Amino acid sequence: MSSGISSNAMFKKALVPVDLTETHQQSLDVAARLAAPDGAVVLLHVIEVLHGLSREEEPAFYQRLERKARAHLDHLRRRLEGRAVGVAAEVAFGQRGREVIRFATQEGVDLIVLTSHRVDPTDPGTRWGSLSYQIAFLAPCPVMLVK
Amino acid sequence: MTSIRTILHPTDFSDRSAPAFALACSLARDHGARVIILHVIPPPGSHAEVIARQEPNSYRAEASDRLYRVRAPDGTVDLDHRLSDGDPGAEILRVAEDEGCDLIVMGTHGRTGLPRLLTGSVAEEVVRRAPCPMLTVKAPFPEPATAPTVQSNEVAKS
Repeated sequence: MSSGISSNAMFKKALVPVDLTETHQQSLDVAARLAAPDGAVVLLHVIEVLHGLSREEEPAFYQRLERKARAHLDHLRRRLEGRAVGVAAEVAFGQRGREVIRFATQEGVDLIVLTSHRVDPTDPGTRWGSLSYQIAFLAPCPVMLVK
Repeated sequence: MTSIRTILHPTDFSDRSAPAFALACSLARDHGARVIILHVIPPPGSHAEVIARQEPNSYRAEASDRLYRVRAPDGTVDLDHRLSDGDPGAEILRVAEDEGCDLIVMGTHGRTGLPRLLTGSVAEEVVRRAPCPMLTVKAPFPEPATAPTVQSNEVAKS
């Protein structure tokens, strides 16, 4: 590895699970920064399938959610325009933690960048993403937690 | 994280820390950052431990020895060794704050090697309260692509 920038610490496929909020700028930035020049940032939004309300039963409902999700993913993708990485966006259905792990495993993701938030130390355990924690410990690859 | 200048790697010297350390060094090289490798000696958990630590070659001397023997796989990485006493989670967070660390790279579930240092609960505490992004690395992590290659003449000799 003689070139100044390429190296084995650069990630080929950085997965950024996102919800439909505006809190992910930092994670997008970190993912783009850590991805290899020929690598990709993949945005994943998981639509939670409601218990007792399958996609087959209520296709219109889930299609509406998917349209909304794709519009937001397009909006987030534009944030990464001009960065030297490829950007892809995916929508999955199911339980968030499980789908993120499944996607990462199946798609050969080598880094997951999660948006988390700093927890009030005097108020431990509440609200904080057991989801982030679950993903950090089940993921097949390194996991970056970004505040 | 505007840029990565200082990376903190807390270690318990276990196999679980090794992949995190390797990744910390690779990232440091890529981003021209310094790596602080930190080992925290927790307070003795029992009276026997208090006695044991007074012996020569005790826990502290051994930990210090192991810590300062750690070298970056790539000699160009600026490595700073720190030995600290106290609650591991609190010490990791204190060093991260004091040094203005941009990233913490930490192995998870390091329950082998010297005991009690980087158990899941420490990683969890750091994850929750870290002032900067944190990269958690589970062992095993695939070897970097720079594994030594066998020269063809060596193959011919063997």
